Amino acid sequence: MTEPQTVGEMLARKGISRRALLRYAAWVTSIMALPSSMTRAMAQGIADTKRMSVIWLSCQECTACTESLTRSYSPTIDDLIFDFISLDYHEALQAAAGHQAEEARLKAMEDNKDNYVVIVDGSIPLGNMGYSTVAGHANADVLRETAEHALAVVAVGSCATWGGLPKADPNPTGAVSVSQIVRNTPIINISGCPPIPEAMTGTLAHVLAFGQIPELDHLGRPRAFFGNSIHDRCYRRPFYDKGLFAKSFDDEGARKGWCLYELGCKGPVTYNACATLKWNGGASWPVQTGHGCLGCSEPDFWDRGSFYKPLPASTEPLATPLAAGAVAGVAAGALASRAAKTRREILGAMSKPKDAADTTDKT
Amino acid sequence: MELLDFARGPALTIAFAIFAIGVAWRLSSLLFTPRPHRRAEAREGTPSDAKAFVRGVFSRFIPHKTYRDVVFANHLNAYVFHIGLFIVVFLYRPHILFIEGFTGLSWPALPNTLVYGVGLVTVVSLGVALARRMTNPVQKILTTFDDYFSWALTVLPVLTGLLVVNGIGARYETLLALHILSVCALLIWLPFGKLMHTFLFVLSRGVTSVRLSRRGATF
Amino acid sequence: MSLAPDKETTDGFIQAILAELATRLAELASTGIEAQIDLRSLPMDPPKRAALDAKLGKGDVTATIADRAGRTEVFETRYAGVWRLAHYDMHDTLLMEEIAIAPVPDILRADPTDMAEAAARLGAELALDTKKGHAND
Ligand code: HEM
Ligand code: HEM
Ligand code: SF4
Repeated sequence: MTEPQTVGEMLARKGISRRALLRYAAWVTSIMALPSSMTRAMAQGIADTKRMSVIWLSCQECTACTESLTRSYSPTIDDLIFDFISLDYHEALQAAAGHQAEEARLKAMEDNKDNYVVIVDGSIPLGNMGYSTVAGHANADVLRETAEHALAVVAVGSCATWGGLPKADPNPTGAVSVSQIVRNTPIINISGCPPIPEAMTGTLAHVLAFGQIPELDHLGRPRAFFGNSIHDRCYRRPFYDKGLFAKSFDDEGARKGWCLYELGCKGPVTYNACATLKWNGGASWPVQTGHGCLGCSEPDFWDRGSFYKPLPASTEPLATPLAAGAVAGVAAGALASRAAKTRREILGAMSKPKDAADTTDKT
Repeated sequence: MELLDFARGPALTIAFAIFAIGVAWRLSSLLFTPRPHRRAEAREGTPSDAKAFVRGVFSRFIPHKTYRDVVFANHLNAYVFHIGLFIVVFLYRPHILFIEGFTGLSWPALPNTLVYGVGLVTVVSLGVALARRMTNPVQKILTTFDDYFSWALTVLPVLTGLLVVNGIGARYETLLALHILSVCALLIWLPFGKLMHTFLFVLSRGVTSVRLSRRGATF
Repeated sequence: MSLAPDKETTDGFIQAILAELATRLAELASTGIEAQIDLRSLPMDPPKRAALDAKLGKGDVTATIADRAGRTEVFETRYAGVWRLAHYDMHDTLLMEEIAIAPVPDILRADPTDMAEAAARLGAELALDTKKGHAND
């Protein structure tokens, strides 16, 4: 028999029927909030394409993104994505090593010029190229070279999208995000620490099925997953509106499931799909466990004050300008009225009798 | 998020400093001004200065019966938006948390949705005040740029606050940044225009009362 | 199953879904245009969901699709052409539910690619069997 040409043929060969693909497409269409009528087109799109060549580059990262995506402990529906893509290069998952692996990457780039997708996790150090290298090549160089002829670069996780923990003040490695290195290739940002696996696989499935990047927000994130804030979709929202807030992690309010705003929840300024998709196949999510949202999908979340400080509590010590300003103001006022007094005394000495009548009126 | 960081950081710090300098400067330069010599005798039965001062400050919270009918609607409306502003600024949980952040003080709040309602009433009431100011011939003549500007800076934080919580027009963090910046504008302007009546009403009412009491007026 | 309207089915939300269903079903009957309603993205508490299911009821056809990637339960409701689908993953976790308005839901139909592959496989098996048969002679 001939080699399967399309994903559809390949799935049929493996005994995964088109029905499974339709089920998958129905689910992806649903989580991406696409019209249900697109289910058939998505399944057809995936079935008709060639497997997509994917090159996965890992820079300064902790492998939680890969862990989140593969969830090796428990296969789920989105593992089907691995049947749709051909992971031609992944430092943590591939068996080949060293030069063999490098050759695999170069060959994939050559064979699929302008049609492969690059996934990046981790931030890129610019401080000293030696901080993070693969086979002797600096991350920045490999990324630049690999991205040049890619269809798209998918920055996965808050390190690749914003610089992440490595970039946290004082940023010892000079870490930057993918968007600061890659210039002429479209970038899709899937932020989160780690990102929601469905957001990664759904986005890939969309690119695969339609050959198109899904609609992105102003930070380059797919709107389908990052269009609403946690607060917009939070099931504790009615308590927020009623003004019922937990004041500590074990008080009555906490036990009753009240809003975690006063305990530092960053839900109102965090855009992600945790509240709707949840984690681990819909088992739970941070706010449901009783902990406020940390804001892990937003730029520089680790440098925005304590996770446990309420959102409106300023990161600046505002009492200082108030007190210093008041002291300075009083001093200025005292000096000003002193000067006025002196002037009046001089004026008074110059025109004594007339002035006396004036002052009585000017209480 | 950058605009929000700016609003929360440098903008608020600078606005707080200017606000404090301005208010302290204006109040202290008035308080340090030497009292004038009193050359005339006070009338028979004149209350002590302190008593006259306090009476003056409080008696003016209710209009004098001579004007009661003429200004009643105006007066009521002014109460509505002033109390509305107070509730919105000081009895809303996010605002209390903000104040607690730099003072350590906290107190009970009203339910958020109730505050949104009060905010709406406040905006409408401020609108009524403006409409009256622009249509009443006498008030129109007395109105200067300061009045319009002060009005605008008063209504903006309430408007933007309502936009934030309803997510109208832009994303939460952008609207919040505009909300905070509008508050900064208000704080910076307050000491230098007519909004300074927030503090000066005490002095102007008190001092007027002391002066007129000596001439036999009752408050 | 009672046909009398109860509190839940007179609920505005359920009414809206039913009205939508009626429109789509009429459209299907006259033009053949199929439609789906994604129940996963409709916020419905359990009592409302139960009320909707009670209203739709169960019709003549029930089918189960079980494959390597999961399972789908399909049944036709009391209204011909209105189907309820529930998709599960390989751990039997509910992925999503939907309503399909179609003569037959897509997922029940055999796909041309699958059929071509099956034909090839059957042909190959047959050839093999024939060869085996000859060898036994
Ligand atoms: C109905 C009217 C108002 C509403 C609904 C409203 C709403 C809000 C909200 C939701 C926050 C946000 C907190 C956060 O998540 O960080 C906030 C912050 C704040 N508001 Fe308002 N607001 C209103 C009116 C006002 C007014 C009239 C003022 C002052 C004149 C004011 C001053 C502030 C300040 C200083 C902050 C703190 C900024 C920060 O979060 O760092 N607000 N307001
Ligand atoms: C305890 C403090 C305050 C007192 C006693 C006070 C008192 C007054 C009074 C007596 C008037 C004239 C009302 C009338 O026309 O009948 C007035 C007008 C006004 N006040 Fe205040 N005020 C206070 C604080 C504030 C603050 C904090 C703001 C805004 C930030 C404010 C904004 C205004 C505005 C905009 C007007 C003019 C309304 C118009 O256009 O007619 N006031 N205030
Ligand atoms: S817990 Fe957080 S996200 Fe949920 S309502 Fe409260 S503040 Fe918003």
